[in-house]
Amino acid sequence: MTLVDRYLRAVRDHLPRAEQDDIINELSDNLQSRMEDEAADRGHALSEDEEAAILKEFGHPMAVAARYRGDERTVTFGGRLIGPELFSTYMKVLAINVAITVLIGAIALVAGATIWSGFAGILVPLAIQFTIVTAIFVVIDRRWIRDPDGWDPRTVTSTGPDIDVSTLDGISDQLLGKAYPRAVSIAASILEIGVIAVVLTVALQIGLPDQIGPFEPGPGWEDVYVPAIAVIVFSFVTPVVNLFRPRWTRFRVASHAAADIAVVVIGLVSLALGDWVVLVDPAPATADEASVVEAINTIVRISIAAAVVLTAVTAALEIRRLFRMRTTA
Amino acid sequence: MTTVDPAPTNAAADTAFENLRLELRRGALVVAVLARLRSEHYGYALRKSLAEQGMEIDENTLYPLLRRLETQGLLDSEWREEDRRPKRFYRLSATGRLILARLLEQRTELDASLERILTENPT
Repeated sequence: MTLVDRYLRAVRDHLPRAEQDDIINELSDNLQSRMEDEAADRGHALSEDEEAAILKEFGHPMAVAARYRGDERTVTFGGRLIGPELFSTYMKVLAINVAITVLIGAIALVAGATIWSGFAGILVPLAIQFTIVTAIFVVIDRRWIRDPDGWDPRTVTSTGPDIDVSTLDGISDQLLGKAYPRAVSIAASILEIGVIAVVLTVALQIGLPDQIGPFEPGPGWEDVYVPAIAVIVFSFVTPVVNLFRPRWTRFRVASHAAADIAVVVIGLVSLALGDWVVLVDPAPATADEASVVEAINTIVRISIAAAVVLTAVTAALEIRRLFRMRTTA
Repeated sequence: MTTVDPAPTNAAADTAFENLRLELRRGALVVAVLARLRSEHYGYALRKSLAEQGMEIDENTLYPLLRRLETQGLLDSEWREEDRRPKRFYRLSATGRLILARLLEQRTELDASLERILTENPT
């Protein structure tokens, strides 16, 4: 695939689906015409460096696509925070987050949360997600503003279905540049190993205590503890393999999907089993102790339901990505 | 006590000039594109043709502009093969001709007004 082809693919990723072919065909001809003129002026076929210089002058694929979208919307607060190049992607990410959060809130209400705790369970995560997503996009936008030429057409990759880039890699690519995809993948694997190691350590340290005061773990923990630890251990396989094989993207997507499905199954089993904290001896328990048990179980039920929904969505996205990779292979 | 606005710095003046220059150019570019498309051109050839007349226009401004003008009904386009490659040729539509004529009338009136103002208030 030529430099121009890769560039056009990257532009295509950010165009409205209905207009992609039309715009790319036209852009392709205009670019080729210009390259031919330049080659005629210079008296020789253009080298890759010369082609890259023309593409660089033409503009970053996201900036080019933004001009075609005619979308001038920005996020401003005093000055520009997020420009039109990123605005539509920002809105999509935010919309997905809002949809998932509202869904989780609805599940929490169905699961028995009070109206107030249900709303709190929606509004607090919404505020956190809004802040985090906005902050990430502001950082990416800043990088563009400060260094609009800080990209190299030779390292542009399409984020379309044919080239897999995980979310973590995608963010890393935007922040660190696309010049070192192998390094980005290895860095992401190391980060993933670190996160899983922390989760496993915490899970094993906490373990399942026999008894805390008048309380003890209920069937919702006891029966899923060992499978949950097994899934965490299995999760090490992906980043460890990717440390040595950083571009095994299909393997990464497939193993992430498998782990996500296992988490969903364990979560559903845990929800079906119910109580996560029970009283050691219900007979002499006070009303306060009983209400503490009820509150803890409600919070855990909502948390597990939320985790199941989020993981199911992630698993579906991973499986879709896997299918797309297969069909475009 | 009256306050006096501090004189703008060179950088601020340059920015202000640049913004005003772009604003002034924006309308002129559309008229130039419409006028040039009284005869048929494809995108890159149009850009070259405008540049030859001293009207440099950025590719990322021109190509999306052509699509927008077509969507507004001012241009017609047709895919045709030339030099063994399919190219999209644009030309002024009937509506585009009417609008261009009206824009040129406006331009004449604006020029005349501006000329009178400049003559009465010379620098």
